[in-house]
Formats: sequence, structure tokens, C-alpha cells
Amino acid sequence: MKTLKNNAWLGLLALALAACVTGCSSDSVTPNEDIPAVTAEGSAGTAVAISLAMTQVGPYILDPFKAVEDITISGDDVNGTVHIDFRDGPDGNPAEAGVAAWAHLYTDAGSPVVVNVLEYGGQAAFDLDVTGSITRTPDTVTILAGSGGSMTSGDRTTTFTVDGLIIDGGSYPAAGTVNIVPDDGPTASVTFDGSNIARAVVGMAMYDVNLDTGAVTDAVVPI
Amino acid sequence: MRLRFLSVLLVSLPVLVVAGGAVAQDLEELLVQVGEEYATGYTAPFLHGFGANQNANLYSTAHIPWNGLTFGVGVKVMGTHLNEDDQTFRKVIRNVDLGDFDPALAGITGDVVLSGPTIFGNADTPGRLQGYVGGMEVINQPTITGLLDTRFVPLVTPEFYAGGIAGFKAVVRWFPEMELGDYGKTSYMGYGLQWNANGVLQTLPVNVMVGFFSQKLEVGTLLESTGSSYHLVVSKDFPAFTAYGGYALESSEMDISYTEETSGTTIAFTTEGVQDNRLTLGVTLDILMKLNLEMGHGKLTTYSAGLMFGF
Repeated sequence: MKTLKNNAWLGLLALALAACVTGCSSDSVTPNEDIPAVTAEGSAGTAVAISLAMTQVGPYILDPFKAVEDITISGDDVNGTVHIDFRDGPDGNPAEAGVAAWAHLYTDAGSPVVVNVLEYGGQAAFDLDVTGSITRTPDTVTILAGSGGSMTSGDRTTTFTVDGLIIDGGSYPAAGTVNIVPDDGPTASVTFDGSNIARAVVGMAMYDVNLDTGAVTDAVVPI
Repeated sequence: MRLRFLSVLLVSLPVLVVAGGAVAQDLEELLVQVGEEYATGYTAPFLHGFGANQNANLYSTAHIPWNGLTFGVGVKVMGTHLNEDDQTFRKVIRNVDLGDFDPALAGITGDVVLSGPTIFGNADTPGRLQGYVGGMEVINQPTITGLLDTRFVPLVTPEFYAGGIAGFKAVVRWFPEMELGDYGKTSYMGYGLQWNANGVLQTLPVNVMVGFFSQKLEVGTLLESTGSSYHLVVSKDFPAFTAYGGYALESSEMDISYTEETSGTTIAFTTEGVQDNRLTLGVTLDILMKLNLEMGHGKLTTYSAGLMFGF
């Protein structure tokens, strides 16, 4: 009888130990907070960065002196290497830069173009995959649907698509829209009109983004 | 055999203290490079795990003689097993003047993200301080690496007990105050009292004991840790071993204080241990010496072992 009791105790003990060893893990005691989600204004700011990148890199498609297949950009605001594949038409034959009718601008994986986007040192790295239709006299590139890329700044990544953006050699895109999808914030679309002020729409909010300074302000809408 | 064990214990204690002091010195050398917000995230698993360790292995049986002396001396080793998420941390400070972190950005409001290995994270990879404005990263500074890459928060402590009168037993954890060079004094003192109820409740099929323990550890000027436990324990003796279990209400608290080297600012903060109760299961083998193995589970899980010489 005593042996039976002892066995029962041992069985109970073994069961409890097994349950604890297999099922007892510690709670986490360390803060692991999420990176703050991008606000609407932040999305507009991201739009500025992407707009600046397109404004800085896009004209390389047009400039016959710069438009070689591998372009290393080294400047105050833009640094990196982009490749441009010139063709005589969509998926056509290779063509000289100055007479090409179609171009594919892209970056190598892992070698982004780095753009300074804020006067106080903000940087963003861009992976680009852009195709454009080129017309001549005056030279103009219309960025085709399906173009886009991704922008990484710190731990944030934002994907974007470019549709109908027109680059004509001026300082700013003449027309078109860039659509922006942050990984943790509201989507935004930015429309260009050739001036240094682009209009960003984020949900119900509208912002004016200054392409020279990077400043984002509430849009002034005429009544 | 027993005398040899005592000799090893007495020789080992100063070594353990010095080793612990050296680790604490390494910790201070890392902490002085960061501010309070970073330090609280970086040290969190240590602050919480250390308290859980202190309150571990406070008993190895509920049996205490009512009329026969009992005495023991030995060493206890504890390890609180951290959640795997506790080897890294990320802390966010929202809407702050970024000038507090980079003077060039004074007056600009943004979010700051502090992240990287905790004290028990990767000892080769530094953490980061990032500042964001409008979704864009404007600050990216390396910070400090982890100190020990492990998921176990370790603690070793000597322990002494004496009792056997009317079911009472006094327990002491102590080592003498030691000067660790420029680093300061290190001292440790804990005491507790346990009482066996079987002298009153003689028909109980198991031994029953209640007790408390209070302790305080000071390591230089860097840290001070206190802990206390109130526990109810039952045990059952078998040939050659004792099985025991207990439930404890407990608390712990750690103060950290250091001087940030870049600003000269004194950083001081206090963290209360997250664990407020635990269930303990263990066995004590009584072959020449008493070796006990136990696991305590509350919000944290602590494994511990003790090797006691006594009777």
C-alpha cells in the first residue's frame, strides 16, 4: 500500500515537471514597439522624396551626353549608378541614346540610388525600374504605366508606381502622377504641373510639396 | 569530501564576486555611452530576470526539525530563461525635439527609434538610434552592443541556514563587502525565516512550511537590487530524495545609476520586477550532500540548482 502511494506521488511529480518543462516559457519583458506609422503628412513627405528622385534621375534619359548605358551619378543630392537600356521602340532594337524612342532605366539589386531629400540630412535609397516613351523636338519622356520602384529610408520601405509622368528637360515633371504606398501608412498620390509645387493627396487631405525645399504644407485650395 | 567542498566554496566566493563585478564594470562602460531611454530598454531583461533569480531556490524542503538542530552551507545557482524576444528591443519616443539627440537638428520635431541587442543580445552587433521626420530617416547613429549573448540571466549566491528549534529555520545569503578597485564596493545580504507547521498539524501527510526572505545586493555605484518573497511550501520525503513544491508572492526592484560620458548627466532610474508570484517544483537528492534542482514559473521561468553541505 505504501509503495502504491509513493508511486502515485512520483507519478504526480513527474507529470507536473513534464508539464512545466514543456509548457513554461517566460513572458517577454523587453519593449519591442512598432516603428511609428507614417502619418498623412509623412506620406506627403515621402512623396517629396520620390518626386525629387524622379526629377533628379529622369532627365538622364534625355541628355545624350549623359545617356550612356551605365551612369554613375555623383552629386550633392543624388549618388549611385543607374543603367539605361535605349531602344527604337518598346522591346525593339537597341538604339543610340540621342535617337532612341524608348528607354528602360533601372538600378541593380542591392545598389540603390541614394537621394538627399531633406536639408537636414534625410536620405532615401531608391530601387528603380522605369520605362519611358521618348518623343523628340522637344525631347520628352513619358513614363509608362507599370513603372515604379521602392524607396527605403531607415527601416521603412515605400513602394511607388509612376503613371503618365512627363519629363521634358525642365526642372520639374511637366505632368503626371506618382502613386505611393508606404508599408505602414496611408497611400498618397502626387500630381505635377511643371512648377516646383506638386499637389499631394492623402486620403481626404491635400498638401503642397515644395520640390526645391522639401517643405510640406497644407494645400491652399481656391474656393 | 565535505571539508573539501567547504574549501572550494570559500575559495570560489571571492572569485565569483570579482567575476560578477567585472561583468558589472563592462555593463557600466556600455551604459555610459547611452541615455536613460536607451538604458531602460537595453537592461530590461536583466532588471526583471535578476529579481526573479534572487527570489529563486529559497528552500529545498518543507521539513524543519522541531527538536533537533539543522545546519547547512552551500551555493545556489540560478538562471532565468528569457523569452527569445528579449534579446533585442525597440523603443519609440514620439514627437520630440531631435536636437536632444543630434544638436544639428535642434528645433525639429520627429520620432526617435532606439533599437538593437539588449544586454543579453548579440555582443558583436551595435544597436541604433534613428530619428524620423515625416517618414524619412534623418538620424542613424550606432549605439552599443550586447554584453552576453545568452537567454539565461545568471546568478550565483552562497547560502547558509541554521534551525531546528520549534520548527524554525533561519536562512542567510551573504558575502562580505568587497572593494573592486576603482569600481566601488560590492555587498550582498539576504535573510529569511521559515517555519514548519507539522509540529502543530501532526496528521498532515506532507511537510508544510511557510517563510519569507528579503535581500539586497549592491554593486558599486551602478546598481542596487532588492527582492522579497513570502512562500508556502509542501514537501514529501522519499528514500534518497525529497520532492517539493511551493507558491510564493514576491517582489523585486533594481536601481541603476551612472554618469553619461558625453553630457556628464547623471542617469538614475528604478525598475520594479515584473514577477509578482511563482509556482515552484523541485527535487532534493540527499546523497552525501544535498543537491536540489527546481523550476519556478511565474511571468518568468527560472531554473536553479543548489548544493548544500549540512545535516
